[in-house]
Amino acid sequence: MILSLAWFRRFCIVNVPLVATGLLTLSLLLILLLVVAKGMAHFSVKPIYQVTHPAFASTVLAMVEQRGENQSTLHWFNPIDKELQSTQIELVNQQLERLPQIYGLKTRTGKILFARDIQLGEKPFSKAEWQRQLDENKIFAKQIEQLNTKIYPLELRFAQYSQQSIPYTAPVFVRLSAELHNLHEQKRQLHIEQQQNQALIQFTDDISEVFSVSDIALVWQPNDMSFGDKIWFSIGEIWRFITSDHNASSGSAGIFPALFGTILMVFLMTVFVMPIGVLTAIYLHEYAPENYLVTGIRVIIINLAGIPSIVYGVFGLGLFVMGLGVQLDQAFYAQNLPSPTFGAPGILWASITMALLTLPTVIVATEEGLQQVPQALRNGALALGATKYEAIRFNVLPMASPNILTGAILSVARAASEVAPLLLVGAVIYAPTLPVDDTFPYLHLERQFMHLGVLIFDSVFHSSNTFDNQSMMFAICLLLIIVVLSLNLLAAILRAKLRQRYERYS
Amino acid sequence: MHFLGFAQHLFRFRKANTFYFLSALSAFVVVTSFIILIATLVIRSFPVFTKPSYEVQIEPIITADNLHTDSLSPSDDVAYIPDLPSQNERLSQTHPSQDVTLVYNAGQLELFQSKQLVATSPFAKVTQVFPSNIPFVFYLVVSETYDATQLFRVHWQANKPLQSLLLFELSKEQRLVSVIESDIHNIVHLLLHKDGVTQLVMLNLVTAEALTEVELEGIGGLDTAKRDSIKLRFDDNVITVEVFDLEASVTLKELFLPHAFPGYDNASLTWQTNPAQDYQLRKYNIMPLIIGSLKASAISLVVALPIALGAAIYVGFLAKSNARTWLKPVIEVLESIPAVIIGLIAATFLFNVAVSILWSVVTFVALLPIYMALNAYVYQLCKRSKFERLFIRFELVIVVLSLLCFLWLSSALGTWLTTWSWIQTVTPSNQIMLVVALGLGVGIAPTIFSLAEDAINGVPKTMIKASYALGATRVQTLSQIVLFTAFPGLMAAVMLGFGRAFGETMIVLMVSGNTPVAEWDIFTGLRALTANLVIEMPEANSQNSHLVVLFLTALVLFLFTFVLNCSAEWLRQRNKKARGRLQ
Repeated sequence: MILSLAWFRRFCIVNVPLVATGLLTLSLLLILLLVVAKGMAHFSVKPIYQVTHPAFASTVLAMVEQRGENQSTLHWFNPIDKELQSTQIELVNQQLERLPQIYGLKTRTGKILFARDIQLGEKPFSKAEWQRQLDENKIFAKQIEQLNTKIYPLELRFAQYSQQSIPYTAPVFVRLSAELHNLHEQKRQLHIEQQQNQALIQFTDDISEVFSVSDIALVWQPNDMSFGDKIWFSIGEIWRFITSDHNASSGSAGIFPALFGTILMVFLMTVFVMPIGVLTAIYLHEYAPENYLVTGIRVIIINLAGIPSIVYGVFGLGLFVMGLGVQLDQAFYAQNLPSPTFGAPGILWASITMALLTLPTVIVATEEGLQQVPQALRNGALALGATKYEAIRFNVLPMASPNILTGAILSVARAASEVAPLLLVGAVIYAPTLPVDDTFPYLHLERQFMHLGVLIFDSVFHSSNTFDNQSMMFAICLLLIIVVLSLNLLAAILRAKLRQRYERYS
Repeated sequence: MHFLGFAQHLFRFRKANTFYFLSALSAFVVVTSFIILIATLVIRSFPVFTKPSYEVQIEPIITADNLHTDSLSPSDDVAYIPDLPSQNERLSQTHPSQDVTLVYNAGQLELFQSKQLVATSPFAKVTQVFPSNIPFVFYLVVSETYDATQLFRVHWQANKPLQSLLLFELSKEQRLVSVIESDIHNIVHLLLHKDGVTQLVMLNLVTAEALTEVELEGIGGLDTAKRDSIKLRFDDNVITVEVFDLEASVTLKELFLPHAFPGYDNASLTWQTNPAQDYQLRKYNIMPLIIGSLKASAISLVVALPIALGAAIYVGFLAKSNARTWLKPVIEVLESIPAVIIGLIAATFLFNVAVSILWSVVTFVALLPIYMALNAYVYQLCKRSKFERLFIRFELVIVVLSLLCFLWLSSALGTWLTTWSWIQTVTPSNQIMLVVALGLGVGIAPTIFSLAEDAINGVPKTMIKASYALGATRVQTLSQIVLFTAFPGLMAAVMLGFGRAFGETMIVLMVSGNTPVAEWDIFTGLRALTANLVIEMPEANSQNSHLVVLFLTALVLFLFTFVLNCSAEWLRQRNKKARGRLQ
């Protein structure tokens, strides 16, 4: 039975496809699993151990990553340099000790510290006391701010008087300077009071340092947390990851500028691509005659979809940045010419390039929607006296709107996941300023921007073995995958809904 | 009221016309943007097909005190060069800026640096020696016979013998007066005298092609030379020869054929746009990049094709129809995963296990028949048991689980194999290509799958039913009806997949290591056209040919995918038409 020819055929023709499908599904599952697992690990609470090892002179506090059989990566806190360092050493379980009272701290500058003990003034550390002191500091800061607003006009007047060469003995001057002195004295008092809220941080038994309470951003006790605390802490980490500023120097920080840049670029792109894409689809499906010209347009659209994305980047660089941008600079920004304004990669050129890249997606999706609207509806509208425009505007377009939305969503997903062209036309690894700020004209289209995908790309080339660098990359991957997949899911649901709605007509 | 009605009527139609006009306009915009795209690429890379040119401008007479000689031009030598020196005469030339002297003494070239002999090499019948403005580069005129005179470029690198390259053949009447080499282009200007006429010839240093030349009446010497203009002195006159389109100095021969670059032993295909040494040339040979792209896409197709086509056959024909409705979207999720994430996973995860990955893959492939035979046997057994229905329903889940075990088993076996000393000796050191193949394969498989599945699903159901009705089995129907009918569509899918792999950027860029090597060997590195664009485009110097060549590579990429897309589309349309006749 085993060696018969029929069996062999069956074996080849049925099993090979089955195994191939299995492989494809498996690779999808593995990728998703890997990204989710490694990305979520970035936000988890990792215990801090006390390590006794011959490699270190005394015991150190450390986090253990990748416990292999003979090699494991250790991120240990160096109390002398006050920073985390990574080494690969051999570890056995006996060398690790989990003490309950160990603190992890994050400073405002993004540094991470491990401490054995924290004293808040005279009292031992407690969440409530820390919070109270922080609030107190906040109140002091507010008061100082208020004093400053009072002092500033007085200082101005002081300067005016001395410019008008009013003698110091004049009564106006004396009164003013007395008032100023008084206010400055109050301010100094507040400063001193603010400084009194100090934390004495004990790194080892004999090394300690005094920090101002307001310099410390976060304190946690990883070895002494209940499950609920851990969940709450992880949620806080996710929130800080999404909202805080990216700081290239300190490494571990949030991704807000990249997220913002991606969203802004995608938004601008949508503004450019949607009208043109939708109108083209309407022309092709509703108005255009069946001739060679229209066939040619269709071939062009198919080809636009097939061009490698990097070619769009080269095109954007060659036409927009080097051509149009340079012309614009010479015409309108001649005053700061050696340094380019629009003649350099920027968010405007990036979004136009991406608009061209996603144009076929929008056209195809919209046309698919128009095809699904039954011909009877158009004929009905025309029979009731509507013009062709009215038939399209009031009957066909509302019905095809879910598919137009699908096109928009798919193009957004495509633009968010495409990296190669952006590297040429405007996305950078670190942009000091956001493209939107409070100085006129508020939206700076010529600025470069940060992009989630570019951050991921960069991590491969400049990987450092600093603490949580790689897990942070996977966290960005997780965010990107969640965004892209949820957009795709939304598009699929919308499309299915439309198909269901008009199934009975056709 | 009539008037109002008419106005309303007009308004209605004006809106309609505007709408029609706008929609036609946007279609026009799409077409125009495509044309502009092509035009941009063509115009930016057009200097490759043209040549630089000289333009002569005669300036008014300049008084003698305004004349100045440039330090790097050996203009004073004009008068001193002897007509045809005897063989044993001692010739010497010193670089003005460096303390380097080349001495020709009795059939020996000797190079002195700070009065110390650093290199010698035998060289016959040198009649003239010129220093170049590039350090450690000299030009030699060699007269083998009275008729044939040749120009050589000689350069020296520390701890290496002098190397020479044949550049140009001078005729009997021509006499070389000076050479001006460009510092950022691969060209050299030769100033020649011939029967009372001064000639300026531009040579491409790589291919030794004469790019352009100009003839001037009278005997002139070199005054000053800049990148874009050369001033010649004729008695009291100064004639400026402007040099235009220097970025066009790159030629097609230089781009595609192997050349003996200075510092290399043999003629080679090399891409190196920033030379390490001053005497070296910029090597704009795009063949290594094209080979790299072809290699990467071919090897990834080897991985992707069986998986994608197999999956398409399963989903499009073998699976139950309700399974198809969810299975296709699920696999297409893989298509929407950003390439940069696949690249990251390949570059960090697969790369870390690259030592054992080769043998894991080898074990996987070797054990696959056994695994599948086992699979088929278990399938037969289960089909005859009472769990048949349950088994068929969850066959994919079961296969995925068993595959997971099988993958783990083969990777463990592969790791175990690498501990053998014999295996370690035959393991090639560079296994990046394997990671590229896996990463890129996973990247393009969903595209091929999706198109191929469409083709298979598009086979008319009536044909399949007819086949069953005539008594064919499922396997016979598949191999003789479905695959046969869907073949053009499958071909189109494969072609589009190949185009996708050729144009894929991020995975290749992040994984492949980006060494431009012109070898078809699987175990060497590669640099793809796409990756090269990302690496070099932002920093390309727009003054020399680098940017032009990069735009040409983009054009090559575009044309390649354009041809593939068009032919795939043609296949698909033809197939659709044929099928339309059937139905």
